[in-house]
Order: sequence, then structure tokens, then C-alpha cells
Amino acid sequence: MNWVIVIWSMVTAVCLTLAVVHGLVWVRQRAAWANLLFALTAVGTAAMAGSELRMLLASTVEDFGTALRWFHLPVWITVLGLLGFVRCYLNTGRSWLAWSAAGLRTASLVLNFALPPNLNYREITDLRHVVFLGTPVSIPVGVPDPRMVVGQLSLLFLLLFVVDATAAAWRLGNRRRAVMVGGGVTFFVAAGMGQAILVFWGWVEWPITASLFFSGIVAAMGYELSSDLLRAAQLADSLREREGELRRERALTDAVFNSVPGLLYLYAADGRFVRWNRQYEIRTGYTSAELAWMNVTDWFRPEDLEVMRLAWNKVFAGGNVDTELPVRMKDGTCVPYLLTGVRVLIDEQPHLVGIGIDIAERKAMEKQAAQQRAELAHLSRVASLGELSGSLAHELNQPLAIILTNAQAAQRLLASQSPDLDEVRQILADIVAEDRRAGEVIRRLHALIKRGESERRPLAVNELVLEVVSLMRSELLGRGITLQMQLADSLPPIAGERIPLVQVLINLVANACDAMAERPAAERQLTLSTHVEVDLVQISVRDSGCGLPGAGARIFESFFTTKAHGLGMGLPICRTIVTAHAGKIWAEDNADQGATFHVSLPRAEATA
Amino acid sequence: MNHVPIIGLVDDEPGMLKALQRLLNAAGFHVRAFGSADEFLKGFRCQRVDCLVLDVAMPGLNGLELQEQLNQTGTQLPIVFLTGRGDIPMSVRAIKAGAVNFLTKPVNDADLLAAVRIALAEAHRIQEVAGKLAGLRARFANLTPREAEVFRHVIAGKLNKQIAADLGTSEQTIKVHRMRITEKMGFPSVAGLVRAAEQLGVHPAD
Repeated sequence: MNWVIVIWSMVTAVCLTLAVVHGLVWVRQRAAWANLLFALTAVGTAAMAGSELRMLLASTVEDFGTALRWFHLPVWITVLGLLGFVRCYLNTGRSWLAWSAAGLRTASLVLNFALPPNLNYREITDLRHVVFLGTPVSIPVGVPDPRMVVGQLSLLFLLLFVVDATAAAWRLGNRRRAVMVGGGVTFFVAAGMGQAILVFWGWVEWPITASLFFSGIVAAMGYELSSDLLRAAQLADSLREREGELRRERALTDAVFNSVPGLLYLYAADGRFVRWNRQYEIRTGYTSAELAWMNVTDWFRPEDLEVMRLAWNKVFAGGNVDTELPVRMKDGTCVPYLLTGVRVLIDEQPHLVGIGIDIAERKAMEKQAAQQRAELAHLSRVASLGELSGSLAHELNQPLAIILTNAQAAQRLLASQSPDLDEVRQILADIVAEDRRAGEVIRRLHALIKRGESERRPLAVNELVLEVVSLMRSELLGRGITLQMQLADSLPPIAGERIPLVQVLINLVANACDAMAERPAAERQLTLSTHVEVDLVQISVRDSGCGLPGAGARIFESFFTTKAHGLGMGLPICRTIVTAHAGKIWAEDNADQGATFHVSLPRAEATA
Repeated sequence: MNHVPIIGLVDDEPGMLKALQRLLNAAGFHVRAFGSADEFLKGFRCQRVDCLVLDVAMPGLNGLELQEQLNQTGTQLPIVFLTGRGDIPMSVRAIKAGAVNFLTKPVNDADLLAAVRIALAEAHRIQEVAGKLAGLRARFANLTPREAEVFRHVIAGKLNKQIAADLGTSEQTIKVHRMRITEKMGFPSVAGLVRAAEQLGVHPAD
């Protein structure tokens, strides 16, 4: 077997194969210049191996000379490819070294073709045959041309450039590439150059095997490039996998986002709308494209922006927020929403994420409940008017009777022969006073049954009690009830609506009167007392009547009554009113006789 | 009536009290005003009143209770009730207990004055009856014990003979006693004596 032919053919084949592979890589990825330059180097090396094989197997001096002359062309290609590859791949190295190497190599190529038979010899005199790898190969004998030093200098510059670039790459931390490419290229270029010098100057008799060294370079470069390709493929794979994961994750979060029945939003700190769920499009009427351009401030009416900004700033200060605000839809209508927000870091940037819940229905229900409460309050006013009617008729009757009697007395006085005009004047003054009193009764009555919103304001509890007493005085008198009052001094005011609270007390007093109807007159005792307990002001209505029915707490339930003509609405209404004032109402049996109803209401400062 | 009539007024409402006083004064009556039933009970014995204009609904003792109390102590005082809201049971109770009238406020002056005049006439009648009775009592007190004894037998419708037998004395003695009794009491007939005995509350002998 001729090992020389086998080895040199294999080198040629391998180099060409690698050149094709990496050439194709470059065709697919035009940015991969390293692959193109590698392909160039590999093609050059393959051609060098071909020329060398011709020289080794040359039988005549002429053959050898021609082969050697053409050998310089692939060397030129290889050196240029190598320079470009190292520059490209290690991305470093001094340009002037590279350009010097390239220039000298080109110059040596020109000299090679200008000076026959070639650059290395003035004249090849003979071929000597030696046995190399069990095969007889040709070695030239002749006069070396000293001008071949140009080519050898170009190799030296190549070596310097590669060493410099390798060192720089090593310093930059690109150590793997520096070792594999820089080290490989340096070693094999040095070896090739050494052999060329020794052989061509005739100091050593050795066949030319430069392509073997260069194939070493190609192998090192190819290994590195291929492992790059492999790594890139692996990277692409894992990237694809990661992308799939991300897609699945995204699909899941999208599903979660869109399954939220309310609005779900993500805002950047500058108010930019980053992400939203499908509900946004359904509820607000905006398309996804329109939403992408929206800012958080676009959703609110100008008068609500202040509240929104406060909540916004609180979120970005690290707080959790939920606030109720009307949100503007595309058609301009405003829908009340409960909006939440928490701060979340995305890519190191603070964002706001939260949900919006439509509370229009709840608001409507609240409004309806308030309306019903107002209706109930009115009903209770009318009902308590019934309780009061006897007392009020008397209250009104009294001044009218006094006026009539006074007026008739005056008529009689004036009819006499010498009327006492002073007395008449006094009578008229009394008539005016009594008329005013009647007017006051009517005004109070009107205030009590008037329908309408009344506002909460600080109220003096003792005044409420005294007002009720003045309204109920005749009732108590007519029923033979003895009234006692124990009103505490300097009570703090409570915050409330006067009329409903007066109604509560009227109701309790009327109940107390009813409870004492069966008692002997001397034992009908009603005690109204007030006192303060920490933040609560308490009013107690104590009677000496029949006590609570066995049913206990049921007395506050609707339609529960022990009276023959009762509706069972009085105490439930009382409880509704007291509860609306954040207060409490309860009842207890007295130790001796009767029952006591207590109403406790928070003091004005405590609720404010 | 030999003196100016005085009308008692009881009402807890000062304005009403004053107005009523003015009206009654203007009609020529003398008035004593009281702010409550208790005040009246304390004052009326030393300050004579002939009739009462009384409010029903008052704190403490009310009008009807005052009437009851007066009746219990045997004080015969004609009462005109005034009330802010009278109901039928209340007025029936008052009239049954001897009230002259039961008027509701506001009251017309003519109605009130008419009622007051009736009350005063009633007072006059009561006083007359009381005056007659007082005379009768004085005369009865003038009888000796023996004459009073005979008096009870006479009004029992007994004959002189029977009386003498019952008392263990002579018919003649009884005749003298009877003459004396007729003289002292001023009633010539037995019927007159019987009526006087009824008024005095003297029971006939068995």
C-alpha cells in the first residue's frame, strides 16, 4: 500500500469536505464570515496537499519545478484565509501584522511566478529519492534562491499576528478559543515554517509535508467551528424548549387572566397600560388596539383623578389599595368599580397589578336599601304620629282654649261702661303668646312627619329627651303617669339625625305608657335617664309596667307584638334607626317591676 | 244668697287659669284660683268658695279624684268640669258623682257662664237646705231628753195611750210633752214632725 497517496488524498478529501460544509453554513448564514474564511483555508490546504503529492511523486526535475511553482498559489490562499479567520474568530489582533503578512505573501506569490522555475530555487539540478512511509518520494537538489525569504517572512508575520491575537483573546477571557485556535494555528504554522526553511535552504533532506501541518490547523479550526455549530444547535434546541414553556405559561396566564370575571390590569409606573384581560374589551367597549394606547388617567373623570392619584402613589409606595371609583366606558357612561392595586416588579421595573370589580349592582342595592329605609322611616313617622295624635291634639287644643277664653273675656271687658284697657292689653299679649305656642306645636308636628333627607349633625342627647317629653307631656298626664328625669350633666354630643332619634324615643315612651296601662295610677312611674359610658351616650327608658314578654329578644323582630292593635313594627324600626347610627338598642326586665329599654349611641368625635 | 258668690278655679295650666279668671271677673264673679287639686284642698276650707270650675287632667290628684275626695268628706260643692279631651265614660262618671256639667275646652263663654250660674243656684239650694237643717237641729237640740224620747215614739205613729204605757207614765204627762214638742219644733202636725225626723236622721222608736 502506498501510504503517501492514501494520507495526502485523505487530507485533500477531508479538507474539501470541511470546506463544503462550512461554505454551506456561510451560504445559509451570511454573517458567519468565520465559516467562509475557514472554508477558504480548507480549500487552500486541500490544494496544497494536491500540489505536494505531485512534488513527492515527481519523476523529473521539470515536473517538480512546476508543482512547486503552483504550490505557492494554495499557500497564498491558505495564509490569507487563515489571517482572515483568526481576525474574525478571535476578534482581535493587530491589523498591521495581518496586513504585513498578507502583503509579503502576495509579494512572494508575484516573485514566484516572475522568477522561473519558482521562488525557492534558482535552479533545480536533480531529484533525489528517499523512502518515506515505505514509499520512495522525490526530494529536490538545486541552488536555493535567497529571495524566498520574502515568503518565509510572511509566515513569520502570520505567526506573530496569531500569537499576538491569541494573547489578546486570552487576556480578554476568550481562553478556550485562544487555546484551540490560537495555540493550534501557532504550533502548526511554526512547524510548517521551520520545515520550509530547513528543506528549501538545503540544510535538511526531507520531503515537503507542509499540507500536513496546515491540515492540523484546519482540524483545530474545524473542531472549534463544529463545536460552535453544535453548541449553537443545542442552544437553539433549548431556546425552542424554553419558548414552548413560555408559550404554555403565557397560554395559562392568559386563560387565568381571561377567566377573571372582572377587569384585570397591569400598568407601568408611568401609567402606560401594559396588559389587560378580555373582560376589558367586553366591558369597556374598547378594542385591544385602542387599549394598547391608553393611560391609566384615561379611565377616570377629571373630578376623580385626585383620588386615583392618591391610590396610585400609595401602591407605588408599597401599599395595598382598594378604592371605589367610577370607570369611564367607551360610550362615555361611568360604571362604579371596586379597584385594587399592588406593586409588582417586572424586569426590575415597578408595575401596578390589580383587578376591577363592577359594583353597580351593589351600589343600586345599597341605594334601594337606603330608599326602603327612608320609606320605613316615613312609615314610622306616620305611625309615631298616631301615637302622638292624642297628645298633640291636646297640645294644640290648650292654647286655642286659652285664646278663646281670653278673647271672650276681653269682649266682655270692652262691653262694660268703663273698660279696664290695661287688662285688655295684657289679655291681647297673652293671646299672641298662646298663638305662637300653637304655631310651635304645628311646626314641630310638621318637622316630625316631613319626608326628606335630613343630615347628621351633632345633637345634644338631653335636648332630644326634653323634646320628646314636651311632645308627650299631655299623653303622660292623661294616662296618670309620673315622670322622673335623671339627665347627666355635660354629655358629649352624638352625631345623628334628630327626627328619627326623636321617633325612637317617642316609640319607647309610648310603649312604656302602654305597658303601664293595667297598673294602678299611683304605680305608673316612667324614668328617663341619660349618662355617658366611655365613647357611648346611653339613654334609658324605664317603666313600672308589665315587664318584657317571655319572648325576650323577639321583641325586636318584625310583626311580633303583644298589643291587641299593634303592628309589631315599632321596635324593629327603632332598631333599624339606631343601627343606622352605629348604636345599639336592648331591653331588660327590672329587678322589681317593669322593664327598661336602653339606647346607646357613639359620641360625635368617635364616629368622625 | 246674702253674700257675693265666690267661684273656685282649679287648673294646672297657668294661662288657662288666668284666662278663666278674667272671663269670670268680667262677668262679675269673684274668683279664687288654684294651680292644683292639692293646693285647693289645703286652701278652700279657710277661703270660702261656692262652686268649683275644675280641670280634669292635672298632675298629681286629677279633677275626678278631687271630686271623689270631696264627696267622701261630705263637702257638697257644685262642680263644673272642664277638660281638654273628655270621653263619655269620664263625663258619665263625673255627672253621676254629682257634677253640674262637663264641658270640653275650648269652651264658649256663654256655656261656661250658664254652667257656673247653675252651679251657683245649686250652691244656693244646698245652702238653703243646709240652713233649714241647721235650724231644725237647733230646735231638736232644745228638746229635753224626755221630750226627745217621746218625739221618737210620736213619729213611730203611736197613740198617747200607747206611749204612756211604753214609758210607764200617765197619758196626761205625754200630752204635755207632745204640746211642748210641737211648740219647740214648730210643726203642728205629726206629718211635719216625721219629715223633720227624716231630715235630722232621727229613727222612730220600736
